[in-house]
Amino acid sequence: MHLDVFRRELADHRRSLIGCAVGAVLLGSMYIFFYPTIKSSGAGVEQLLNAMPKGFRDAFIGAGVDYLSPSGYLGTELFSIIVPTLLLVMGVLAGGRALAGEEQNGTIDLLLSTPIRRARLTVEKAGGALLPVFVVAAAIWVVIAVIGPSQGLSVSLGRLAVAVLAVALLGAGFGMLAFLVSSATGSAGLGGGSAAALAVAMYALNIFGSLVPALTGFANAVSPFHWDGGSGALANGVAWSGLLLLIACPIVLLGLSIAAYERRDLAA
Amino acid sequence: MASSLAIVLEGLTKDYGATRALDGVDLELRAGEIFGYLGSNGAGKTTTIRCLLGLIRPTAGRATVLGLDVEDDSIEVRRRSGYLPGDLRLYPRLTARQLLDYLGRLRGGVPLARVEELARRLECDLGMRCGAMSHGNRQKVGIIQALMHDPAVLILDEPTATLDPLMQRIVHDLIREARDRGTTVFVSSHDLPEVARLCDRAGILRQGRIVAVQDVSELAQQGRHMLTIEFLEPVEPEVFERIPGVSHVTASDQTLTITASGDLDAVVKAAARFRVHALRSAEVDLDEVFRDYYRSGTADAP
Repeated sequence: MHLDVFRRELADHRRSLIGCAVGAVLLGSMYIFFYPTIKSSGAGVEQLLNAMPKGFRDAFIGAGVDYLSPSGYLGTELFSIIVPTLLLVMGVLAGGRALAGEEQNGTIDLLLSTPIRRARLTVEKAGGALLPVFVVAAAIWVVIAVIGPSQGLSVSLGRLAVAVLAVALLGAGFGMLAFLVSSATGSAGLGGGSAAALAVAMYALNIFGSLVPALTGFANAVSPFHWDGGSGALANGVAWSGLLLLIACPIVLLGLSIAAYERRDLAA
Repeated sequence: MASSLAIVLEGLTKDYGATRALDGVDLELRAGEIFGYLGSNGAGKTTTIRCLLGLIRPTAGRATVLGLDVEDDSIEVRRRSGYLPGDLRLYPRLTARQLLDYLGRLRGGVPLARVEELARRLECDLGMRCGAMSHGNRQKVGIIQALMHDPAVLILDEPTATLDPLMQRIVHDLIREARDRGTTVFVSSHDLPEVARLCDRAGILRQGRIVAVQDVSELAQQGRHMLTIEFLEPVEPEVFERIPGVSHVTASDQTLTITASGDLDAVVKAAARFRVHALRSAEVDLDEVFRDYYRSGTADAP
């Protein structure tokens, strides 16, 4: 029993992992190669952005961030919506299916007739389902680190690594929520759906937090989309408190998943 | 005497919401026997088996396999058991060999030679993707994975339901060979003739309750036939009603339908007194046998 379930799960995601990694690299390259053009149009873009309400501007570009700076541009274009969405969808789809999929496909009887502990199965399934999220995040780091400087996009590679890690943890966190709900109920759809719904709600809360001062404190405390630094992650860095919360959530959710799965009657 | 019992069920009960699927099942399987678990669909056979594997938890009662509690020592129970699910599903994208390798690894390794031998006897192409296999071929892969680690206990849920008669015989041979090596076999079926051919003893489950446990040789004597005889002339049903062991005589026009248990000699000789056009015989279905047990077997039956 040398991580066989983990490796099997990872192998099941081979195609989607390759697809997502290639997509992320192409998308990242596209934005990188757009940068010189956008920057040369300079003042016009700034004017347009300054016409936005301050709350929107802060939400999409980051408080006090210069859009045309390398970290402002990458933060806005990649880290505010596109990369979080990609990693979140990967995490939620894989997390929802990993364990509940075996139950819905009817293969769980075969798998759990072998002498493997349910807790171990849970951990290996979660790991195999969510590792691809971190692999794609790493691919994004590589493409920015390698191609970025040639187009004038030089950012701190350490800060970039933290920002990419934070977004990956965001995707993995919602993936683990999907995993928890689906392994507790046996329904991949319910798990994925509830995690996706909560992600949308949290994203909206983060935007409202930027727009409505009365909501800011609450939204910043509750929404993972604030914890990861959002579009300001490259310019302003990711706060330790946010990073710790992003690390803690998947771990707590994994613990809950183990407890929920341990004594459940599995559907035939 | 505990060491000679391989599987023990004590008051095993399972509720699904308000539905009682298993109702206090008591059962003792002797080590090294093939035990048939007979029941119609929905009687609770699969529920019993999934309790033994730890896939579901009994509401009340307990069960042990090789002296190990199925809830507390589930890992050890599964290590020493081979299981064929009733509704077998495989990973469609894996070849049979990849699947067996995966399951073998989860068991800490299984001798490849044993897998190859089983595949050869079952005529199973291990290089084929499970998703491209016919129902019968998937079932063969399921049988290989249940047998490949030579478990001390075999738990088979309707193993031959989807196999042709030739393959059924090969599977029966494999099961008997396992028994001859000392393996205890718990095999569920809704097919009385199959149980009669394969098993040493059998228990009949009806609506979650054991209604009878007996040696198969006794059960076989219960085997009855439903005869339909078409005559070329009018017959007198009374002639048949007088024969011992005959019941349910119905006659319409020149066709006679009777149920007969045991020897058919007297029936055939009685029929020979008339001009016979055709004679058809069918095994009385299991449900009928159940009904008999239900009527005579349990005191608290309605």
